[in-house]
Amino acid sequence: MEIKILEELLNKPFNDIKPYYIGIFVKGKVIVSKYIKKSEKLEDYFSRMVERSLEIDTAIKNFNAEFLFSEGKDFSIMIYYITSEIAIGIIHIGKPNFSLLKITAQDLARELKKYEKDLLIYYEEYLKPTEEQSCLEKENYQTDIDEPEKVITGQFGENIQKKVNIPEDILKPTEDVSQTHESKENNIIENNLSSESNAEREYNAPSINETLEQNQSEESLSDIDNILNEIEKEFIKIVGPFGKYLFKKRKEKFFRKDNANKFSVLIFVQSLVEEIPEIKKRDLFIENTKKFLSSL
Amino acid sequence: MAVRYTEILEEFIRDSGADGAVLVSVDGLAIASVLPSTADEDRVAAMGAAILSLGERVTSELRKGNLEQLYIKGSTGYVIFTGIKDVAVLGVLAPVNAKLGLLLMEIQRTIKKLEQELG
Repeated sequence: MEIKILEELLNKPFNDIKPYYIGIFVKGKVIVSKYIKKSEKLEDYFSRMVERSLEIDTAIKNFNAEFLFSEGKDFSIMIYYITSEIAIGIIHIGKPNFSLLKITAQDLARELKKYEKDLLIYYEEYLKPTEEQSCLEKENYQTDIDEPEKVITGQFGENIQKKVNIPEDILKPTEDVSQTHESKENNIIENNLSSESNAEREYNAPSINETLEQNQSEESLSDIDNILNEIEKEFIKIVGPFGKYLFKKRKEKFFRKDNANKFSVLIFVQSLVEEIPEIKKRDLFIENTKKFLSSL
Repeated sequence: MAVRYTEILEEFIRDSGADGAVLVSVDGLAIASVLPSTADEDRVAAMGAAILSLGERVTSELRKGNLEQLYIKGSTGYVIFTGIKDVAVLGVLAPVNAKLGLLLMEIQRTIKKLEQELG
């Protein structure tokens, strides 16, 4: 599947109703989008909104979400769910017109349904790696001693750069899409560089060996529980309301068999760090949690 | 206090024909709820607060004022999330054949009551 096909599919609704923004999302990640005025923040917030809204089918049994709609005096937002993983997002500026947005989304959904498998494959190949990578790290966390150190020093950039290794011959985006991908990639790289330099500048963290030497005895689980509680509070402060759920979900995956120890906590925190999209907030989270981590 | 909130939610469900309702703090924690067994209180609460908050950020980026309410339509019904000032979110589950006009009116009435209680 070429991205160009999806772009062409977006052209019709874009020309017909002139939305401010229209995009195709798989599991909350933008595959292609068209917009009147580019705003990365807007796309980021909207993507996360789509991603969170997909949770409705797990929050309520047999709900089978069809669409989300919201309107104000001068805008309307529609998220139309093609499947429980694929959605169309439309932001329209002007007098709200629910019926128009719904019909437009339905038409586009019918076309996109033909590419359902391709969209999921595309997601798996090009957008999922960060998650896969973090899962791999989770599985190997006890043997990989370098990773906890990255958390403490904020050097998590290398991993993130790997995720956007998309072959050029497969992706043949037209102007908007290539701009989106390039700017995202640049952003990620820039963010990594800035986070590394920030970490170097602001933070003289103890190495993992120093941390371990401070306490060779068995960790007290209750201490670790307390630390996890404090980390949860910091995470919710940074991420917002969904942080509670996200933390709980991640914690369940990480600490299945009372296996909480200093290594797993550090790797766990790294996985939380990767959930924070904004680099400044990542740095703030690391800064706020380092006192708990260094007490391990 | 939570008992009072629960009473308000129960009264709302009785008057509007909704299936359930949950009052959520802005940090995504359920303050009070009367939900059917098919709904996971924690998830509905966290998700409602999160998407309303993200929706507000979207409209703020657009400079189009506040996003006060949104609804999700499913094959078995509706979920309607409404912001209560900046302090809470009211989530309502309604059946697919709900009379939306009546429901929205009852939601506004309930929000006024909850606003008074929440101060």
